[in-house]
Amino acid sequence: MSSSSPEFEGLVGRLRRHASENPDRVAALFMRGESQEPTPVQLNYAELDRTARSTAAWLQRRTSPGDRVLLLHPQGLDLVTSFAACLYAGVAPVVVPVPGGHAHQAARTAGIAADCGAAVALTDSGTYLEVAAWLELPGTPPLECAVTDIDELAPPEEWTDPGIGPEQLAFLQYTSGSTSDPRGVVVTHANLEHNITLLCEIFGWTPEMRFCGWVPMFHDMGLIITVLVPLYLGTTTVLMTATSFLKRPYLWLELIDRYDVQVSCAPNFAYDLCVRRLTDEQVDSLDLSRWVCAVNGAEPIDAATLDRFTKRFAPSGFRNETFAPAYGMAETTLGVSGTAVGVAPVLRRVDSAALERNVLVPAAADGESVTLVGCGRVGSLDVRIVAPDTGVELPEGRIGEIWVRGDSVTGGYWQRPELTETLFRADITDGDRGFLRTGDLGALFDGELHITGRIKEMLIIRGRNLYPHDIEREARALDPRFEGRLTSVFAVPGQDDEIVVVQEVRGTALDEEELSGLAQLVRDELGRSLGVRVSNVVLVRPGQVRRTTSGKLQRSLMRELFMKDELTPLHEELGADVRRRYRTLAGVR
Amino acid sequence: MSRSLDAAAAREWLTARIADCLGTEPERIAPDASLIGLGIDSIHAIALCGELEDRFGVLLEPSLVWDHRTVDAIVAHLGTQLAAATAGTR
Repeated sequence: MSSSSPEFEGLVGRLRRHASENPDRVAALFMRGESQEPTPVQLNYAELDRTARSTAAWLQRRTSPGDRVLLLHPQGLDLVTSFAACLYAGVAPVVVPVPGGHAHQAARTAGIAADCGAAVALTDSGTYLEVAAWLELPGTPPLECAVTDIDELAPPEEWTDPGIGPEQLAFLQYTSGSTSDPRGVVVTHANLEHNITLLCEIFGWTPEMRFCGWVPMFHDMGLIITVLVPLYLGTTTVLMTATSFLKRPYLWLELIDRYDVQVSCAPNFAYDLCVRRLTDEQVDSLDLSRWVCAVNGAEPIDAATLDRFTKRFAPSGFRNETFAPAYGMAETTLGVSGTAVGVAPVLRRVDSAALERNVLVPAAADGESVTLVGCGRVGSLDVRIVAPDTGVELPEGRIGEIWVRGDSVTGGYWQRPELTETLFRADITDGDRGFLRTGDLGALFDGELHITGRIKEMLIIRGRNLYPHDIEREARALDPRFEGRLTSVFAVPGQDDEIVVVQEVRGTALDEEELSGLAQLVRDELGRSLGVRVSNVVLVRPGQVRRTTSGKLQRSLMRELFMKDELTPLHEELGADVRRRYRTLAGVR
Repeated sequence: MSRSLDAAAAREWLTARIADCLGTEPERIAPDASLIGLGIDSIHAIALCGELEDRFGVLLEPSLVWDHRTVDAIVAHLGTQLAAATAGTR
């Protein structure tokens, strides 16, 4: 291999080596289609290398190293090869959701395209029409768009190795930030290499293991665990679409069995969906005994989910120690901590009252308790627990903000120097310097990292990050009677985290029916545009949504007032679960 | 296989599935109520779409609940799809 940076192999060097050493090994297998019986299509390491070189040669004629390229492919083999092609060309791929039906999604993708400053996009013949329609929209920046799957875009021999160094930009990951203010995490080749190595260490993954998943590649967990780690290791990954999984959760588990998969990952809700949706017959037909690592991450982990899934799939040979609770985020490339293969998840009953005072104390046998799921041991990173208000480091067992330092911590947000400085270069009071502030609350206890909540106001619903101000803006635009009034959006704990919208209404002469109609409108329209459930709408008189004197919305205060039933609403429409928890006099919290 | 739809039975089944998703009683799901307004989110909606496909043997768009917003509308759409499938096959 002739590389001008011989000491650094990186993912490109690895892919070239796998193509020469194991050309016929399947790199990725994809279940195409969303019917009951999707068709498997596959790509071996030689084919991946050839297509990547061809597309990379085309890219090299149009771009300079470090440029960004938008990838407008749905989940599938074309997305995998285009991602590799960008790395081969020394440019940074930016994976985005294909802008389909929702106007919200078209706007979000356009916002990312503008933020990353891509001049070139890659797509495939099956997606081109949708992409062409999106390119015509007024909010979409101009892009030169190529279709990768008809003919080779350029002769693969024309590709020249750009000699990628560890500090070069590998890709931008847009998972955080809002529609109006997208944030791309800047991941270098060194970050990627360090985090892949860290993940393999904490989980105990080896090149002999096969991987499988349906979490999309525009999600950090989907991209890294189900695509980049297996390609780095030179093993096989089996991919399907999220829609296919949601329609038939059985297909995911069936793939794990059929293709002898050892490692897969999903957010917590997906494991519950499997419990609810599979029939006894399907459970009995599956052999899940060779699955050794079921990563649970990307949203809060529920001990009850682990228990339900383990019991439900015990007849299929699933074992409790297969569950691997984990913690991480795009800002640290992906992984921070995780549970090793063969090690059972740590469930810890902690004292409820102490928890409210930010201390982790094991609960007495008969005491009020909350069960926390440990997120495993921290990998080769420096993790500290810090009081978020004072910046003072806290000892083991105390709850504070999780701060992280080390080689997986990324360079920050693309072209957001001030935000990056604040969040990625924090200093401990009278202590060490240069930490990432994660915004998550947790504690170290007995060597395990435990997550207890979030201080950011960001809402994580079904593994998606939503921002209150985006939802507030949309709510206010729904009816003239909301114009110029204030809105406050926050989440409260329910079976899942539940969104609550508190909206001030102009005019007081509204009758109950009109108010109910307005509340329904908010539920319906927000649910439609955001694609998540908005069950709880509280309509209040002007002046009820609290702000600080500087005009900043006090969402935490509003949340507290809502949970204690101390708002005086004109009208309140609540989901059954939320009403039961926060509005029943006899309700036990 | 019979390809015509028993609309009453389909409505009853669908109402029960939606009530199950939302953790409520079928009586609370009005046939003309907006499902998104009732609290069906995109994850429920796609899951429901898969269940309908398996039960009725048709292929539906994942955007079903966005395009056909009530129980009545979905049942009507199912009827049309099944009739088209019957006409299209021998």
